[in-house]
Amino acid sequence: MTHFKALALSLAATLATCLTLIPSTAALAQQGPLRIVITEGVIEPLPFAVPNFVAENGEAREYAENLSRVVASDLAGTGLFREIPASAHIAQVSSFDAPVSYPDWKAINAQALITGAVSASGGRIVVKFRVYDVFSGQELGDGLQFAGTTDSWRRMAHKVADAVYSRITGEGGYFDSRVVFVSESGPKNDRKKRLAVMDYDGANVSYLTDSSSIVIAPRFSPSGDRILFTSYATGFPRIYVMDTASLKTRALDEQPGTMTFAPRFAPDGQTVVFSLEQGGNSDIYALDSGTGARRQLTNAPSIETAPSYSPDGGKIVFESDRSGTQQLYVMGAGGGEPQRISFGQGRYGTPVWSPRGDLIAFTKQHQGRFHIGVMRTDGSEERLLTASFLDEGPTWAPNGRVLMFTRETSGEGGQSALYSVDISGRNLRQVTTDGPASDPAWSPLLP
Amino acid sequence: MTLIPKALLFMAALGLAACNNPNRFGAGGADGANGTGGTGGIDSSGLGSASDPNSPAYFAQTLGDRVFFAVDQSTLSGEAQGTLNGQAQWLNNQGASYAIIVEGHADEQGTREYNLALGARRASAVQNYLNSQGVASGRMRTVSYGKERPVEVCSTEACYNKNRRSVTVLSAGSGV
Amino acid sequence: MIRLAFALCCMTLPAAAQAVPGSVPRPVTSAEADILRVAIAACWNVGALTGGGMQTRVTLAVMLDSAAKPVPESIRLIGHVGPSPDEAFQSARRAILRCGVRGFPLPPEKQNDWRNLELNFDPAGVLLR
Repeated sequence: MTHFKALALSLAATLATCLTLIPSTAALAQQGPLRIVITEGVIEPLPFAVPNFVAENGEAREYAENLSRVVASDLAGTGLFREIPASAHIAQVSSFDAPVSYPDWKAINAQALITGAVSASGGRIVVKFRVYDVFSGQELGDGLQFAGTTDSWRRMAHKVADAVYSRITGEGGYFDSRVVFVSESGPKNDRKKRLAVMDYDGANVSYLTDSSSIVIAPRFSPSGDRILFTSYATGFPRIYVMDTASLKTRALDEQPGTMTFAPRFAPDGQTVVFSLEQGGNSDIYALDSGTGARRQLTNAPSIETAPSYSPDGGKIVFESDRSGTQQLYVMGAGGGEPQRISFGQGRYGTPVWSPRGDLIAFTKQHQGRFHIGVMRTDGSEERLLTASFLDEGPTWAPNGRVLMFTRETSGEGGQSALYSVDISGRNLRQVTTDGPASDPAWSPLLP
Repeated sequence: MTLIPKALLFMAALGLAACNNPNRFGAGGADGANGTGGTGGIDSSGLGSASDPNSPAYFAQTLGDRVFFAVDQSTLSGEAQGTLNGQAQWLNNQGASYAIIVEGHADEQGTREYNLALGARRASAVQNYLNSQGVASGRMRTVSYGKERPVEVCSTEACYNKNRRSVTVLSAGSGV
Repeated sequence: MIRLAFALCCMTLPAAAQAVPGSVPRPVTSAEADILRVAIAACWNVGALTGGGMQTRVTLAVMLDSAAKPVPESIRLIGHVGPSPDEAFQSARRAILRCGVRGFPLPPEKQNDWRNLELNFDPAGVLLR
């Protein structure tokens, strides 16, 4: 029992007490500190307030409130923060440089306060912000300023939210990012699919292909400038690379009599790992997207697919049914003897290595249900985060804290949608898209 | 019998992609693969009568253009082999001028890429079997659609076992 | 939750280690330490911790003034196990400051026992709940 321990220690009285700044009273021997272990807490999102940003000139007025709404949405959308709405605010922020009236914010229980200002002129805007730790009565980090064109205003709001998130949680943010996915329409037996890309929160969608051929499983390059995907444009599944700016597309591997699919970039942005099928067997290959030089990484009569690199480029996790059922394996990036890392009941697939390097997310099937899960890179500490008729294909947010995946409903009218979930398993929510969507892949944080 | 060598030469000349486009499920894509002659799969049910043993309709409907698989499996059951025996016979005789695309499919109870690979395994199992029954490998290509093209849309085994299939699609030989 | 902590304080009688009043102060009893623990836990927002934070144990040193209020400048990280010490420290620090803002419910006559605290925050058990 910890209390007993605390009591015992405080009785010991011979511990160093150089922590103390106040001399102990003369009559007593120096006591050791009182030791207490706290193993309980409250699950409560951190309350914050973000009053409307101050418009510093007339042209900025149309952006002021929208900026603060996007910041609030980003933070509240993580499930870690809760907004105290403007209707509850006591103090008003009318000037960016005015001193903060901390008691007014403490009174409404805001733990963090975000203030901002925006000025706009001739198609360009400048956004400034500061964040305050209300309970300690001081600014958290330094204020920052972003400048750019007016049509990038949402990105600036995301960058503000990223900075606030990062200062409070100590982790990197993920809001200024894009997601490439497959936009779907039509009935289950005649699905039309096309590639689309959007901000992580669903805004600013644009379509990259038409629906004339089946396209599946797009992935960003490490810098976000290209997209790999698999398409049936030639009548057979083949891997392609598309430049996101120009939309120029070219095939990557055109050996006749084969099918290629499941491509991913290595962190070097040049090597592409993928599955190549020949004579009914699928193995993992790597190719240099510049020279086209190809090498075989697995050589087994089983299905090897869904490869994903570790963030340092040194290892590849993939799925294989060499044991009889789909399981996860890790091998060196140059090939070599793979180590199996999944050992639970059920089948494991679609492994993706976290950008932090610490976890691998996957799809698991067991007893007729699908789950998105995470495990350590040695396969230990497996945790399932979701369960449904059909969840599959997780992709990591840039900070390794959130996963987005496809969830499909059952039956004739079954449709796919994108969902996100925190790696704690909390905060499962649907990502808004214009219509059914599948196969999301998250970009890195935009520069 | 000179049709077959001509067909092969033609296909070789144009490249397999252009001449042997199995893309029954949608128009050709960005590279205009359905351009020149001899392209496109034939929709078997559209041509001829199921009672005319020379017609593609006979192949598809009377003989049976598809075989089915158990969950996660690509082995051919006795019944499947029986169907394929019939196909091989037809392809070696009345249908000797046709090339074929063997499609492999999976049901929705699996992840997308694995199902693509599983469909390929199934198509290949059929292709190998047909080959063992005398159908020349030069006439055959395989494609997998994974779970992308179910024929039945419900989410029960009654639909799933119809989706776990391999379909033999007749493709034009030369200049049809 | 602070009200609850105060209620506990007043309802339970401290289990006494026998002592003569005025000479050696009685040590803080386990019940009193428990009250302090509950008081801090009430403000420890585990829900705001990210994955790394939830896997990190931190030990903080805190000085309380004579009114049992935490001295903000005295709060220091003196040990940690886990990948996100910074986040875990901030979260623990907030807990101490928030619930200590009116002073913790500790017996003034024993203040030599509780002026110096070493608080170990361990989220692992919370996650499993």
